[in-house]
Amino acid sequence: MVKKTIFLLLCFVLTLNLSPVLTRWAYYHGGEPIRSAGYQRFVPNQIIVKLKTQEWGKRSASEILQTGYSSEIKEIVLHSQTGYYICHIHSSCDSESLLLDLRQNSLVADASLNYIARLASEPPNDTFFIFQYALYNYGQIYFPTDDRDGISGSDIKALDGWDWSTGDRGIVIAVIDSGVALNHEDLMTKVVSGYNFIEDSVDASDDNGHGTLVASIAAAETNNSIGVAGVCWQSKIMPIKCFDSLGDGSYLAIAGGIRFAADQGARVINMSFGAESDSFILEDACQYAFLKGCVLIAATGNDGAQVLYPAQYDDYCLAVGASNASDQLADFSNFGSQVDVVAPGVDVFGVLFSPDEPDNLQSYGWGSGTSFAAPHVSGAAALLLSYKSTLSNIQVMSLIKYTADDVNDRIYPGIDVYMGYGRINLKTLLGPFPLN
Amino acid sequence: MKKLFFSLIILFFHIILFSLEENRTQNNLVYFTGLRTAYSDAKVVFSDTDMENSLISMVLALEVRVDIFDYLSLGLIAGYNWNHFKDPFQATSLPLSLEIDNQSNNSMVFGLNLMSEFFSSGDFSISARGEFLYFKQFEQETEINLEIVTGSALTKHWFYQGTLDLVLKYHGLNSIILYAGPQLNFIKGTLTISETIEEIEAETELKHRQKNLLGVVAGMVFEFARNWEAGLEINYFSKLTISANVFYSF
Repeated sequence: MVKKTIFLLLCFVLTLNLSPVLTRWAYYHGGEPIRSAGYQRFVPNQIIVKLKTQEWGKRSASEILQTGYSSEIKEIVLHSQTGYYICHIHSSCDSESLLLDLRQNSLVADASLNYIARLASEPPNDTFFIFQYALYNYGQIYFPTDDRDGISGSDIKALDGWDWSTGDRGIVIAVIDSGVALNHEDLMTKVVSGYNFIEDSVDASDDNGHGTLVASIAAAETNNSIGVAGVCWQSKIMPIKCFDSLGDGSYLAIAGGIRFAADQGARVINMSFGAESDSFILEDACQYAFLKGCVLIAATGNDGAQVLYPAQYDDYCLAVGASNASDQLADFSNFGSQVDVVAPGVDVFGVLFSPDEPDNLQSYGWGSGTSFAAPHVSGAAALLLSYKSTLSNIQVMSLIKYTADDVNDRIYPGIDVYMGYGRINLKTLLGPFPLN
Repeated sequence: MKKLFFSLIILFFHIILFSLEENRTQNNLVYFTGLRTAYSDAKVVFSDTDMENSLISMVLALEVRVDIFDYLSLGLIAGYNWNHFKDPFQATSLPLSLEIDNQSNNSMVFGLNLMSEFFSSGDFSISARGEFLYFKQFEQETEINLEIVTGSALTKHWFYQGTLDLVLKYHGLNSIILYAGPQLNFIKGTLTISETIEEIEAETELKHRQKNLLGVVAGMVFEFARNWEAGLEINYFSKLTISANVFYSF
């Protein structure tokens, strides 16, 4: 008697304990292949039925239903968590006409297909997202005129990163460049007041095109069904025009721009430019912004030679080289011990603005250079600061480096002068790292 | 909820003191020594994030119990416990977010309990029991192996569990006592996670508490071979616990 009681009690406890495990297993492994029907996918050969009553006379309602539709329905199973019935139908049966038929049945309160929901990591709906291999590379042709494609996975893992943060409107990325096309359809809602250090005015419009492409890579309006996706969906762009229409900018203008950005509260400063000469003018400005807590991101340069200034200021700047769609170093990317990380910088797709066609505010295209690698990192820094606003600039810069993928580890394992710590990875940067 | 908890504790001690006052004649002390084991699965909530998880623990402990009077006994407990959180959880406030999955903590457990059978009539009696268990802090260091750099994470976890029961006992069966009644249960603890990756050093504290405090307890005690007794007990609703014990009295 005692043994039996103990045995029954143990069985009861074990059943209680195991039931969630069994449910989980069934959930992960019990799914059938999924087919697509237009925009909305559903589990094939299944109709979910809510019955008006459990019993009809002496028979269960589900039994009556199965008898009535024996040629269409193989089996009806109660889904214990919801109380609905799963009708497993023959594959030859037209599920949509059966669905309409079931809805008319007097025993049925409602019937539905078992629709499939999507995870948040679906790509954004921007028209040209498919060309942005830098954000999501599944081996697609990203440059159709030349049929150029890359290697799947050679991207910054933006989709995974966006599961954790798509940015914060309070985080501002200052773009020290040729200005930004303020009225472009994919940027106009993103731009805050900046400054023009060439003409000493508040009009920071672009008259070159470089700054517009850089800004769009970092933070174009995203998931708006037009144009391109930015790395940081929500952050604002502060256009600081320090370069003229020919792409030249004096150290003094640049230094003014950097200090202005820091004073105006920009948390990230993108510097997609460089020069060979060291000068206190530039270094002091970088130090000033760094001490104010800004994250300074600088392009290493496109000469296949030594890293340019300000990227050489290792204490203050994160130096960014360029990789391509196969996670290889771009042949033009400068190298040296100052290189911290790389990001895609070959055939990067974004907003194109031509000063010759100032009214064309719907143009997009490709650009190559470390200039276009740097804004990927600026966007990443903005995402991290949006998610964890209390991090210091040193922590942000360190984390971007430490979470990079060592993509050239077969040739140069570890930190190297070509790719530094490696290609940035937003999944590791923003997502939780598994401790085991 | 805190007020209710403290009121019940005060009521519990009041019942015991009241019984002591009523029965001043002291009997000879009876000692029990035994082994107890328990498996427990309690739903807990992390305070900052309202994230739910289940704290699973296994306890194996020695208990020395003294029947001070017929109606009052005091027990001291010391032993070992293995505990872990059932579902993975994340510490996202660290610079590098960490996910902790199935990390087992092993540490000592200490506790005491007080039981009073303050009312009896025929084959029935009513008993109140209070128990406090402290699960000592356990530390575990784990490597953070990023592609280029290596860091470390240190997790520290401690918690305590308080239980108050009021049970109706049935003594009508030969050598078997059956009992059942409501139980108030409270688990509270802290998980501290710190990470060090090169110059990055940070620490976060995740406090957790039990989700459902009120439950039921049911069990039975078998008396056998003169000085031996064995017990089996199940708690449900506030947490799922199955515990067994065997005691020798001398």
